[in-house]
Amino acid sequence: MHFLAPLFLAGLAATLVPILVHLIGRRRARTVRFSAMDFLFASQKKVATRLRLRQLLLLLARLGAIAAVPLALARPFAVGRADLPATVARAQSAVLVLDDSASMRVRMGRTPLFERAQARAREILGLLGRDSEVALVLGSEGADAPVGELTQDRARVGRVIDAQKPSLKAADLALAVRRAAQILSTAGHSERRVFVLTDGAAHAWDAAGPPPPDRSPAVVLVDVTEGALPKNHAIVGAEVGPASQLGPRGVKLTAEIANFSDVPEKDLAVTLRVGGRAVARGLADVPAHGRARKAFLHAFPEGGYYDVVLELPEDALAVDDRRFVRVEVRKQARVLLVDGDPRTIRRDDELFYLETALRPGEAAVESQLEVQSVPADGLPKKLSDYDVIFLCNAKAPPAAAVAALRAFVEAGGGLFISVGENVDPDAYQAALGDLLPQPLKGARAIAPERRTEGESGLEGEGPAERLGRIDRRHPMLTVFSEDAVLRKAPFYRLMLLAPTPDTESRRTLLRFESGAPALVEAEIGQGRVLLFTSTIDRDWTKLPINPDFTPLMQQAARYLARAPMREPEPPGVVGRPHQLPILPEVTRIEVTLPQGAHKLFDRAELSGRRELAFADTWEPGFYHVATAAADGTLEPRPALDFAVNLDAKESDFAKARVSAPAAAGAGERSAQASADAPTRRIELWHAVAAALLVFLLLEGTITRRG
Amino acid sequence: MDHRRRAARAKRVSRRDARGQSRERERRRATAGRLRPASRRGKIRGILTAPLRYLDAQTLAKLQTMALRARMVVEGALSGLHRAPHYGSSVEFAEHKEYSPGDEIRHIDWKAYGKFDKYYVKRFEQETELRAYLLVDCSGSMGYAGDSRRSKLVVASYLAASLAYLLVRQQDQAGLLVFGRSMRTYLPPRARPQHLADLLRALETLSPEGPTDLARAIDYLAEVVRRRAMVVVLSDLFDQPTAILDRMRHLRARGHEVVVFHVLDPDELAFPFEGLTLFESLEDERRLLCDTRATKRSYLRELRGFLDTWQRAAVDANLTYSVTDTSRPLDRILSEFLIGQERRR
Repeated sequence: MHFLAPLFLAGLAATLVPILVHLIGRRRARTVRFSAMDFLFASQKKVATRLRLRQLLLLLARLGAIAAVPLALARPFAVGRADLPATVARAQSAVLVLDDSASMRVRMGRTPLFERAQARAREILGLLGRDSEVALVLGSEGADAPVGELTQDRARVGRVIDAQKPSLKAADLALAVRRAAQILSTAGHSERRVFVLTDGAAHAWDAAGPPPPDRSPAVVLVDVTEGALPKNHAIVGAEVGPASQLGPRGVKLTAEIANFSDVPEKDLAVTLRVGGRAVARGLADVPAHGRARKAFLHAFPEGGYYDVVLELPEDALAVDDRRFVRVEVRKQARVLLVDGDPRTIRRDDELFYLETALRPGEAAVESQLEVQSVPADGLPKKLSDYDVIFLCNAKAPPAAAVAALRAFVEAGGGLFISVGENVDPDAYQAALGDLLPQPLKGARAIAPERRTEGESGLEGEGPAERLGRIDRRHPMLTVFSEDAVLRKAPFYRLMLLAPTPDTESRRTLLRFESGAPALVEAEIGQGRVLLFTSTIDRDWTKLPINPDFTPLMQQAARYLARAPMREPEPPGVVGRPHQLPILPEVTRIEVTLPQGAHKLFDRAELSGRRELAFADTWEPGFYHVATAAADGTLEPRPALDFAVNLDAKESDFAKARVSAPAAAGAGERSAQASADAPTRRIELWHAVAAALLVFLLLEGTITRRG
Repeated sequence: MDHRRRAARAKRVSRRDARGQSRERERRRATAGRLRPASRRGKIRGILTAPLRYLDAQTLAKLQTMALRARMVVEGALSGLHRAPHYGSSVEFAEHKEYSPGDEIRHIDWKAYGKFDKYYVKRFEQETELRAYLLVDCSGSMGYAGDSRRSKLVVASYLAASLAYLLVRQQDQAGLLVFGRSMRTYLPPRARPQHLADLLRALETLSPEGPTDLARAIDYLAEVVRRRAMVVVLSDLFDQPTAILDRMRHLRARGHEVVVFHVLDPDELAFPFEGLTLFESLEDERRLLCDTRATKRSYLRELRGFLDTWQRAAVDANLTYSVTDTSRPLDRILSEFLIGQERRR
């Protein structure tokens, strides 16, 4: 505490007067010889405590009143740290940047930080000098400026401030400040300032951090937490993996828990929910400013997609205590490989590479494929025991086998046909007929003029055909990039097919660079047939030794088995668009938001596009997708459902470091920096004068009441 | 016929004379051994020749018209003013009763015979002496005077003296018991004028000191009192009420009339003190420094409770109880008491 007129403090000596009066008064008490002493003692006993308290209060009130007079005359004041510069009262052009990111939802005390920020914004509005003009910008990612132009209508700006609500998006104050600077570029006043009302967290800024205070326009950071660090824990990540010890549908879910406070968390409860129902609970110890992982093993009842939530007990920021994860539980497919060209030398066997691709050693369990191999003449009688049959370079099957195959496919099974030397086009055509997606025309070696030079692996083997551009829209091919390694595989011989136009039930999935079909699909009944126009061994192509051969065969097997085709995408982030693939036959897409609202996209919006950028990801949770084909019937597409989570960085309230202003001697900027020094004088004599009144009232009340 | 009329007439005259003589004899008997009231008063005044503090001329003048009557039935000789528990020959006519063989011929009311032609006998109330014991508290607290300049002991002594005078004047017996912690003075009840002087002199020499023990005084009295009497307590009652009231109930159970003058100073009743005051006890070494403004309300509450206790107990035990403010005129105190006694008979 400081004083403007400290000499008046000598008057504090007067506080001795009541004490002396009290002491002298006791000695000068009148003596009375009295008869009814019993009543006096009885009454004194009852009121003794009250009397002592009364006397003490009276003494304190008198001391306080006497001390307050010289104190008030001495004009005490305190020097406080101010987050608002003294120059805020001048006329200026100002932009208020209101941080509406998810972290501003945290409650400190009873009030969310966002409400504090709103209050401070209104306070700044009131402090700005007359003739000041002001604009308002929001500080979350992709947010707009509710008052994008400078205006002197402060009432309107105040109303707009009051109408704002905190979002669930991440903060991007650097962008907001740049936008504010842009607005101030047309300002009418020479004095220009940006007031950023935020929680002061470092995550709200880019790598450069908050701008130094000497930059123009001046940026004033108003930390509404007043330097305090909210205690917060959050689930910042989730991993999903197979748990083979629980069987084919076992899944391991691991939650990554972060503690952003100074206090370690012990026995923090973590809950696993599947389909909205809690299925497991565990405890985790998380050190202060540290992380921990908690794993759950859960066996799902059947294959498919599941909405899984990992959650913690709610704290000051509740939105980051839940993590939404889409879990794909793969259906185990039973695959039958029919070997049309068995060899004694394993490496030369028709199925050698295919078996390796479908049963990749230790990862066999992960492929979710149960593979069995038979010779071409050993086709089992009961094909319904399988989900997928690979017919590899087999001679034309007999009629009974074809009938069985047809019934198998029509009942929902998947048939993969690869060709080779044993495949006679005419015999196949005669035997399989429309079971073939496209009629076989005949095998052909690659013509010299069509051959292209390959890479080093092709030395001594001449030029070859290669696969053309991959259409990733097809579920089977989404795992490949457009320039996948797959395209480098040389094909020296291939089976030509009779030209057939694509229909809804028949299409070409892969073509060679020459345009000849490489992989053709047909939907027959409930099932599917894939026709590969080359061998699946190294007789006609080096594809089997290409790194993408395994995923291609895995995808083909899953696609034919109608199993999930791809790894579920990682969860999205609130506020960021999510890309939805648009299949050719899709005419309508409906997305159901977590709170139940629907967003519909019709043909006109989808036409000519391969992907839909769904931007309404304003809330965390599960978004469910349904599509409609030409008939217009919306059908759920669980494979396209996705989860959206809070950006994990919003959970970290570690303070941003403010750059120091430029060195002295920078002219106007230095002066500006001095003028903006964050200290202020807080007058205290008003409080002392008020205390004097209170003491006098108290003294009078006590005296009067006796 | 004439001689019968003459005989009857003579008989009537004889009877009239007999009645007159009988009345004369009766009157003489009734006053035998007793002075007439005016004469008794003169004798008493003659004895009280020395100036007396509590019975000055003014006080005596006021007491001339007063009489103290016992509220309840008392026993004693047949010469006092107070009702006896049974009928007998006395000076005061009570009622008529039809003559039956065995009744006294001299009590036949001949006027009633002349009227109704039937014989009726007069019945009289038996008047007897009142015996009263005056208990005067002489403890230290009775010495408190306050601004009234008349201590409680002085007022109590005044009252005791006045009551004693009334009693003796109307040929009742008055006794005195002065007590503090123990018995200081005891004068057994007598009706002689000389006894009154002794009693008054004893009152004049009283000096208040020490604590009080009224219960012990009543115990002492209970041993010496043989016949029903009036017990008058003049005290500030600054002692445990329970023990005192028990003894008083005991006296009542034995048929005594108990009168309590609760003598209090106006300062004790109003607590008019202000400011910081050091109170010192009149009976012991206790002292208390207190802020009277803060204590007053609580003190008055305590006093009110004390007085209420006595009020209720007096009603329950059928005591004659009154709070005597020492600042009030004595004659008014006395007359209110005497009138109250008359009303309650």
